[in-house]
Amino acid sequence: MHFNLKRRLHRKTFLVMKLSVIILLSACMQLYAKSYAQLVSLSEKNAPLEKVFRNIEKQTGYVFFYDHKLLDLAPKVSIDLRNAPLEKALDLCLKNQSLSWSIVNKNIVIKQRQASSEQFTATPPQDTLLNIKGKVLTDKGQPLPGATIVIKGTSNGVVTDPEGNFKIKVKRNTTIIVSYIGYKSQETTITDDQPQNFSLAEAATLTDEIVVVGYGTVKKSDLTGSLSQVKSKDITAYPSTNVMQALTGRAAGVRVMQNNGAPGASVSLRIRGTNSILGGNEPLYVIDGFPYNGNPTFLQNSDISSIEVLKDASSTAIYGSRGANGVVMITTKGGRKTDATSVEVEAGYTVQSVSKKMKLMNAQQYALLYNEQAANDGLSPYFTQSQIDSLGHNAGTDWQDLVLRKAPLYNMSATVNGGTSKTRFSLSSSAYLQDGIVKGSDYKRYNVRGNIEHDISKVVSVSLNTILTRLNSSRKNSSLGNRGSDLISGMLMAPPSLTPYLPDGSYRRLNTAYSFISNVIVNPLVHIYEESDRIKGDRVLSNAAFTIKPVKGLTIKISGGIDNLNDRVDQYNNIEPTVNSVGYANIETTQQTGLLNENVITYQREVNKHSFSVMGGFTYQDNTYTTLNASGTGFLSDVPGTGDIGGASTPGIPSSSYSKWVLLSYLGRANYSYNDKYLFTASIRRDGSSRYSKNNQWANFPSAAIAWKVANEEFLKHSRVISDMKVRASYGLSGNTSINPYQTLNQLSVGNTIFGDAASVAYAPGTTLPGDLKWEITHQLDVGADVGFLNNDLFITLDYYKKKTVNLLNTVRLPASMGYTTTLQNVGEIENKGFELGIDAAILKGALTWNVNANIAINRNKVLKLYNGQDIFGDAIYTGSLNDYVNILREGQPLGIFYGYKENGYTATGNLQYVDTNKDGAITAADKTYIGNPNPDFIYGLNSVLNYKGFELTIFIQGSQGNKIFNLNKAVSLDLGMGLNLPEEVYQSHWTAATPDAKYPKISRTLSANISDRFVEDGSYIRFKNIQLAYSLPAKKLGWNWLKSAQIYASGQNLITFTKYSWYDPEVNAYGGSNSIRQGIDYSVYPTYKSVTFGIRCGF
Amino acid sequence: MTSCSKKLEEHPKSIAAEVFYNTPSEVEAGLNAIYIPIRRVSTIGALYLCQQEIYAEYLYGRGSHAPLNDYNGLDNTNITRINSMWTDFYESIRDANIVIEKAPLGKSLTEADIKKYLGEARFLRGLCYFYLVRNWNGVPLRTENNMDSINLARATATDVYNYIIADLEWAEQNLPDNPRLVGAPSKWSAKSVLTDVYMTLHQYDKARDKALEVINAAKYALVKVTVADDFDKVFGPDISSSTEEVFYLKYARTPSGQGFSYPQYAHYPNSGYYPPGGYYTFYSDSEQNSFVKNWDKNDLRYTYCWYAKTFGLGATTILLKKFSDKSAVTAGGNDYPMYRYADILLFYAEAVAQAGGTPSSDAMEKLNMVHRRAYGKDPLTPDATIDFKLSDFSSQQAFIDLVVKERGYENCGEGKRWLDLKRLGIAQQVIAAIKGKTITERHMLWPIPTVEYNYNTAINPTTNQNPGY
Repeated sequence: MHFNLKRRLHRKTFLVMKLSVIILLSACMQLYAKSYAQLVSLSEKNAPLEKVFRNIEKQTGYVFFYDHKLLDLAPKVSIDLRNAPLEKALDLCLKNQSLSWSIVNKNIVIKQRQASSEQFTATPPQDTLLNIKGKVLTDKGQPLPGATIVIKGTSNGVVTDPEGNFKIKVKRNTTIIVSYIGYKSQETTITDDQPQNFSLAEAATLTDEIVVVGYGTVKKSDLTGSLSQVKSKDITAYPSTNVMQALTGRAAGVRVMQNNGAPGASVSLRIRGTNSILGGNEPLYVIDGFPYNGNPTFLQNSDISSIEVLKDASSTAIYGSRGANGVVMITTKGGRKTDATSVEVEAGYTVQSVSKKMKLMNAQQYALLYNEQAANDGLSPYFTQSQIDSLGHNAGTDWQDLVLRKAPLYNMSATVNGGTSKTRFSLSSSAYLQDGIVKGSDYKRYNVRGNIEHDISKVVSVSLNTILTRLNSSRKNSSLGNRGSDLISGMLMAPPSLTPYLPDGSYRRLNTAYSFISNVIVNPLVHIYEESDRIKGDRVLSNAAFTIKPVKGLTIKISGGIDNLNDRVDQYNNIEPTVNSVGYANIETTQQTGLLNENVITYQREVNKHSFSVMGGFTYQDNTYTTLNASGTGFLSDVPGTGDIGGASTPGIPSSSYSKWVLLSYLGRANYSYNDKYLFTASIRRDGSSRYSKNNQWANFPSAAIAWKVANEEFLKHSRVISDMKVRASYGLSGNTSINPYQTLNQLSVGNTIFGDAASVAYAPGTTLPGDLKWEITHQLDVGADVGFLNNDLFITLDYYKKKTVNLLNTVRLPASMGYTTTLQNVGEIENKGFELGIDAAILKGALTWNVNANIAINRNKVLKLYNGQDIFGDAIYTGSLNDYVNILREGQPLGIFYGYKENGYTATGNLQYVDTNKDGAITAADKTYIGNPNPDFIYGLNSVLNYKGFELTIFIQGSQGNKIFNLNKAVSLDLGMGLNLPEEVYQSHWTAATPDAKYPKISRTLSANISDRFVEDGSYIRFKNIQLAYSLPAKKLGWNWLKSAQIYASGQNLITFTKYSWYDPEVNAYGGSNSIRQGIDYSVYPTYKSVTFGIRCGF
Repeated sequence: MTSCSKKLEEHPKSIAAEVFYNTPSEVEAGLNAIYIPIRRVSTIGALYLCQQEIYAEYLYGRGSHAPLNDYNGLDNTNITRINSMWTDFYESIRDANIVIEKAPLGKSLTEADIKKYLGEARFLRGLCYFYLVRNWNGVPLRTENNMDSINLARATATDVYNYIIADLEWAEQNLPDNPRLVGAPSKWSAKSVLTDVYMTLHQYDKARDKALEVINAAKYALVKVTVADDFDKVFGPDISSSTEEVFYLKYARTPSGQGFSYPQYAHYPNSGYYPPGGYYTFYSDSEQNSFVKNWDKNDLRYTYCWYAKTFGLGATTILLKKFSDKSAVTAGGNDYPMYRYADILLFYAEAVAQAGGTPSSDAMEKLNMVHRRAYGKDPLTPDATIDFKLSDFSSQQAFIDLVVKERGYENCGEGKRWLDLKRLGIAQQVIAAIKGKTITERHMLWPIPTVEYNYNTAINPTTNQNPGY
């Protein structure tokens, strides 16, 4: 049984056992285990046994299980031991008692001597008693030893054995409650003597889980910082292309922004607002301890055991220069010592379809509208009456139907976890195969993962985590083109009056189909069938560690990792006369290798009521990035595709690039707690980055935090209402390193020009003048409280934070006449502050259980200071008719606020009329003002899980309130000389002399349109992100002993959305990116989808 | 710690400015960079030419270029386009300033090398300022001495012209007789640009003398033409140079990205003149436009310049054919003829009349050389059937009008016409006569762009802005 002790060392799980209802209701009786030693020192005189046990628990981390009554009767003990083995201590404690001990799995079970090891009779024998046998398992199919089975209304019950079996005698029609700390209780009424099997799900409300923090783990109850945890079950609740999407709505203060609906499209995360303009705003992702460079889109959701989002400075400062945007700690699944090998298999089939179809003009409406334009502009009609009449016979071509489809998505995974006394492992293999709703697009990912840990001796152990991913995606992405030049805008703007093909089967050329039509519009089917854009990628993330524990409390961990990426993009456009293509091939390869070395020492010690732990380390990380690109135009045949670029009649100039950064760091952290009531944490990291100017390479990032476990004070210990309470405060600094390498150096870039008929090489500086740069620093204050009510059936986490980022890396625009257009400077300040509230509630227990967890986050940001007070504009967006920036950064305003003209009805002739804000009698750029804020007032998520007899109904609602969307898709409705198809609404409601209050102005190509509030829409939404009905098959009842658990489910994603937003979907951010100022804009993006999933989850 | 800090040193695989500009090939690479910005599609590669040509009396803009035809200044889209042109010209000026600053310090350069290279850089800088001053009037004068100062006021047009003349005269003294490469300037290129500058400044005697120096050098000759297609020997995509080339911006079909994109804006898709497709962003009308209508159809240049294309704007719509590349894959192989010998001959003819008050037979002969060639005759052999007679155009104005008209035909599509009309002060009159439009004051100059005055506090967007903006 010694291995059980070690397992405790490894897992550090904290459990509380409840034997009676009294214990269950009494917070002060909860038993805590928190230390990790197997040696104990005891010095007690005439102490109650219970007190001694608690002392042992504190020192060892093991949990006692006992019948309360047994201990009440037990004589007091005197004992004096120093560093004695646990077994010896237990023997001594119980020497003169009528009690015996045994270690069952992770628990020390105290029993009456000579009592049966698996049963003690809870009620006096009666003739009418039924003999019930049963088994208690986790919902993953693992046996639960030490679970209690109590007869409702009494304190009588039994405990399960190491295999999770129990026997109990009860009267007919009694209700028994099965419970285990950390799991949701179940109850059932016994009517006959059939075996009773229970499968307990993990409880949503847990204060004493172990959570992963930077360079270590900590009990959630000992946290001094602010952190959100998302568990495997939520991450795999519905199929999502990547793990960031699965975080949507799950963690308070984490805003997930999907840029568009394309499979594999990038997703932006903002934790507690946007801190930086240029430095990047994406959080740092740390995968099994490896600080990963970029977004971890390669991970398979089923491989993840938990995600911890570190939000406040005391949690993130340990990541120093990379912590300012928050840190997302991703932990993959691991094996457990001496667990029975378990196999989890999941498979799902999903059908996706576009979230909604846009209502566009039909063929006749199109012809009538453009005839009206011709009339208004003094031109002869484009369509004759007979043409219009014939177009009226059908709706015309529905280009959306030609481009979009219902698309399948398959996801499957198999995970094997297990371990022996010396080795733990977790192996998995999975596939995610998604077809996109735009024809021709797909995203396929295959993963193989292995985690192995092995104890070489009691002192030394090794571990290896490896993830291999193969990515293969065919992309049909929107290039955000204008006037129908790309796939999505072509789909929306192609005239419904035209068929896609000519009678001879060739594609119809759209840009010459009518005299008045856009000269850039391309038949969208050409993009689908004659152009390809594929990416193939391999990812390797591998981390090996060597851990030495030479003396008690001291751990030395030396680890090394590699993060390798190989991508190849193959783009080929077929020879296609209707778009004048003579064949175009482009190949891009990217190789990126990151190396990591970490050396961390941890020392932990407890002296009486004082508990210390100190961590120190040194780390090295680098990243080398190279690219190679070749292209060519003009091929004799499409057969070779990108396979023989030498056949190009016009070769492109090949290009390549190289960049490397290095980050050196020293880190340290100290934790101190007194009497399990007062907790202190201080940390510091010193980072040196190659990316900054010579004298600014090094910076320090300190932090400090305090917490007070109020619940452990005498005055709360006996509270029946408040079962847990902790208040905490932290302050610290973190930084942002995301400038590109070499930005402080005066480098020349290569170019080519022609002399005679040949290319000559040229060298000149780029257009960004190198600046002398230093770190962006974010100061953050966090004050929070965690409060549990009614034995933590209701658990509330509340945080207030205030962040200020200084030395903001700022693009300083230079006058164009300098030849440089920009330079970078550390000037500027941004503030973010807000509240976060998380609630976990177990509303119903028993046969019907209902758990709800909800979170809401409010963030306000403000630009405090910019270079010379100079506004920063987002890059201009060109729609054909509009060409201006939309977002602005201005002192005193929220980040990226929309800036433009305000409309004021129409002129007498139906043209757009703008408000003369500054009243100078003319409409000029000076009349522009704030017309909308893309930042939400608040964001929220709510997850409700109802369980009844194997059925589980999960409803996950998520939303955003108060954010505005700049719907630039509407620009086409003011771009009327181009023959583009428009929303039906334009046809139905536009200005005429008779309808001067219509939604759209006069149909004329002479409109002078500007960026205005016309495009600003309410982007608030509330969305049923996932509705799932699952049923766990009663495998045991069916006699399928080979099956531990099996759940079948059906779910729907995004099926119901309440929003006023008029275009495809309010979850959109066309120009999103890590440092994009252009936030909250919708323009011609790949539409998002809704879907229905059927699947199965099995355990063997 | 020292070894740690060593690890933080950056070693990019690219060239640092501090160690460059020491050898002839390094300085030449620096010189080559000056050409890149102005050759871009956003500037002389296409859009600058589109803008200038739609302003001319014989073309109309379509789509987003249509507002140019209103002769009421620029709308937002076109303002954005001229912003890019401003930026491109100044980027070339910066690259020239870098060479002017660095080359004299070059470790492995001879005195002669330095002079030659500075000559080329100053030639190009002067040329860029000449483009700027004609379209924007006085502009900030960025030199090698004030490259780093952010705020710099607009110089007066006079100061800018003086600076241009100083640069070009220095270049004229120091550039070689024959260019470094085909497409780089020679001293004759400098003299030719100087001619144009003096024409613009109405210093016709100086213009005449400079033009004559170029003519008398006998380095250039008009290419002979017998049928219209022979003009391909001047403008076509397949020639790499010609005897007529004084200073061209060179383009090539390969490698990709180095071609001339202007034809893309001129042609209709699948017209056969430009396979990569086209925007037909400007057009004319063989009946409605009197300039085109009155153009003698026996003039080979007419046939070479135009083709009929109906796309809904009427049966007599014509498109510009002058810059075509039937074999283009990504972009055309045509060069941009910034200064060719025909320009010099016509400058000379006009300058003689302008400076002397009366035209000379020599001036008429130079005009006739160009005219004869247009009818497929030997430029150097007088031909009574074609030649203009001095007696018919003996008055100063009649002769000047004749030259101006001839220049209109000869330079059609070359982006030179609007500046001629402006320089001669006849823009109002010509546009009113042919297009029936009134030019507003706002239309005569482009606005100082926001990309300048937003960040250059020495330019006040209200008081230092061009009229109407």
